[in-house]
Amino acid sequence: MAITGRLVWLTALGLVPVVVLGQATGEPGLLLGAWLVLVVVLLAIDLAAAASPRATALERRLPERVRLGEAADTELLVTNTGRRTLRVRVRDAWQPSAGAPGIRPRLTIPAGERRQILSRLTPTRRGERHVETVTLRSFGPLGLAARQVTLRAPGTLRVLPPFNARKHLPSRLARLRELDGSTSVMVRGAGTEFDSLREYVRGDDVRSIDWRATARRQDVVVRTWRPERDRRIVIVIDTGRTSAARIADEPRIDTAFESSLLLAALASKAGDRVDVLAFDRRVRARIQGATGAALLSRMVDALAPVDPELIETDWASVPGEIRQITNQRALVVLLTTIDAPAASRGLLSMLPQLTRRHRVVVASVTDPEALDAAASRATLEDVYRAAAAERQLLDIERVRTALTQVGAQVVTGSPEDLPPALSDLYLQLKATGQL
Amino acid sequence: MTTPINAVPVASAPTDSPASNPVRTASESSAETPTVRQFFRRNTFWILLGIVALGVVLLSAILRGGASGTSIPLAADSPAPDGAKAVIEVLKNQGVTVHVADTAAEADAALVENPGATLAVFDGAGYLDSDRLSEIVSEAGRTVLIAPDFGMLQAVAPSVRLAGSPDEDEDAADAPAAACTVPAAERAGSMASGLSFGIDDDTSIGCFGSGPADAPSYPLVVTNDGISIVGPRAVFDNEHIVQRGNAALALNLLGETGDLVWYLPTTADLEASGPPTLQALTPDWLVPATSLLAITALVAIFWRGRRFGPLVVEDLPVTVPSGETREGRARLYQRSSARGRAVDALRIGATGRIAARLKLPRSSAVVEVADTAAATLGRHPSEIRALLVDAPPTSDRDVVALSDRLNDLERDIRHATDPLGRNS
Repeated sequence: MAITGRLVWLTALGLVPVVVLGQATGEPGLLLGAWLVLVVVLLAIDLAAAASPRATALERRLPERVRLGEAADTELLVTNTGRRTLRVRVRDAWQPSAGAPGIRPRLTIPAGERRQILSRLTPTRRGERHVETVTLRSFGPLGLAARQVTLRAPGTLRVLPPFNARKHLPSRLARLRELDGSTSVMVRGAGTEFDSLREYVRGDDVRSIDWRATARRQDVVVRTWRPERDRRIVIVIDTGRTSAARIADEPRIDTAFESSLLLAALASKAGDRVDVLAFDRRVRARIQGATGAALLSRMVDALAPVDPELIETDWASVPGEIRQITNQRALVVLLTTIDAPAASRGLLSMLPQLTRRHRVVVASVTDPEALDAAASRATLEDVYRAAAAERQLLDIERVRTALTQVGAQVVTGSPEDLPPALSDLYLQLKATGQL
Repeated sequence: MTTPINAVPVASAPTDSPASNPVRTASESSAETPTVRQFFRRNTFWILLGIVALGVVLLSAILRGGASGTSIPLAADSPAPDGAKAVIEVLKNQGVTVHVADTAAEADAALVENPGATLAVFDGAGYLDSDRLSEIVSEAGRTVLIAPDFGMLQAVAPSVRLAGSPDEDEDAADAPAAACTVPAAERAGSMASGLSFGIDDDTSIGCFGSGPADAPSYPLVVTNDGISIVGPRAVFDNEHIVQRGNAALALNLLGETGDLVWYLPTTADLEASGPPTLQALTPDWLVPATSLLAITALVAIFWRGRRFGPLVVEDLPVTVPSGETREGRARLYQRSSARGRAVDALRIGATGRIAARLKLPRSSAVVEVADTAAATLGRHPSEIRALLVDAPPTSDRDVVALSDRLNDLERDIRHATDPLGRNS
């Protein structure tokens, strides 16, 4: 049961008879009692006359997934299966971060009819957003009171990572095509895999002339090369406690997702096979064997509900997980945090196992605030802060040196810069045939 | 943003999906709110418990009966500790007719009907006007004045004055003896102590006197015109009637004649003169109107407080600000004045950057870097060495100055190696 403001005003209206008639008759207490009885009777009549909100059928239509930052249009269909006209106010109880408009529409649904409520969700957070219930308030004809009931009408909307880094994709793809020999510019060393023979045109590198083929034919023929294809790339995303830290208002894990999505998009275009693993102490998400357009959609789908766990990542079992994915030589990209030597001990002790078989790249987000803090030295407080920032940068530098010593390549950048930096490193490795 | 939400009628056939994505439909709808019947079934235990508790409260209230609440002291029908039901009942059993009067008019009528009756007056709240009192007393054959105040004494027995209450122990064994010729007092032998009186002339007899011999005070005084003045109320009340000689004294004083008028003045005896009371000034409807407003407020609270369905829970991710450890370390340095440590960090950082500028390997020693930097800038090597390695900071001022000089050095090196500022 719920009551309306109208009932409050009705109760307050009793002042008139209590004061005016009360003065005339001298029995204001009696009038007060009579008024309250009247109010209660009207309330009871209104409640009894209200259509039962239980006699409704709810149907929900919503898109399965939406990219973060975009809007999803959803429908809620309310069917009145009772015999009375339903005057109802509807609350669709989405989780707050689903970004549902906070409006509770009023509907009048004659018996046996159906109404549609359109609402546009603008989720504010990645992951799965749920709705479990719909609450209906069915008002009586007098509008004094309502019967309230909460009905189950579950729904789930998967909010995918935004992949803002896709703006870097066209330029990286252009550079990939340059490597691929599909543009006229051919640079020797741009690949190690033999592609085809074609006629010499001016501007080609004379060193790429295939003299034996030229001897067989009348024209000068050059060899073209293309980068290797069908290489394996394994992206490991660290979802442990360090990935929860927010840098420039973006958790490290989100930057890791952006970087891995950009790299995967690029690598799948380049013909390489990409597998993704999100791992802390157990596998949080695994994308294996997907190629082309399916890869990206499966990646965003699998990564969407992954949140950082406040536990230390178990690096010792990462080589085993990678061995399960591939036995071939692969490019292993570890998206993690390099912070303090003590915190990176697990990573450092595990890396030699990986570098023996694979080419390893460690990518980490750096905090641009640390650089700013190290540079600003106006007051004593600032100087101490700068010292702490310098210490932090030195720690990172030490870990970076240690990682390089065990044979890994390190790429760091601010949340904005890391995804393109990682892709550039990939392109560089591909161009030099180091995959 | 277009209209975010709207409601439109649809035909019974399913409409096109609003989004191009695959759309899931769900039509399961079962109520989570229990029906009235379910509610009672689920909460049977608590409802029964509530009913039992209510029953116990009601029953105990009924059993305690009139004893509960605030009773009037010495009310004839009150079994409470300060009531006087005990003495009244005993008098009735002894054949005394008791007339209970609440107003002066009733007392008057009873006295007129039963001439020679004993009048007992107790006016703890001081309702009765002294003129009215003397009027009534003059009609009675005998009067027992219980715990009178100054005004009453002045009106009825001007020769008796209040002498306060002796601070005497209630249970003391050496209670004063009657020591007077009043038969009731002699039979009682002792009585409760309390409010006492002094006597200014020889016509009144005081009993159970105590205090100094030249100015004794008496809890019981009998004047020569048949008025017995009893100071302590305890002589008559249910709680103390059985103590000492209270019972004998009370029964003898009250039961001397066949009729007793037990008069406890009430508010009805108040003189309707003087300024009007607050109650007379307020209109009749004020209390009902304010009650209505209070009820309205309660209704409004329910209106606004009623929740539109249950709260929705959502697991939110942890938020870890990244600069926390850095800031913590900085404050730790500052609080413990770890100047050496802080300056070391600044120096190592600066040395690393200078070495990179001078194209020295990262592994080169600090002294080597300092010497190369000095050579590049044309300064004395010891000066740069002092800055980068040697000079220990001794005060906070030193720390700031050193940091500034490190900054200057870095800037100079930058200018020296890259005069056009191309790579800065």
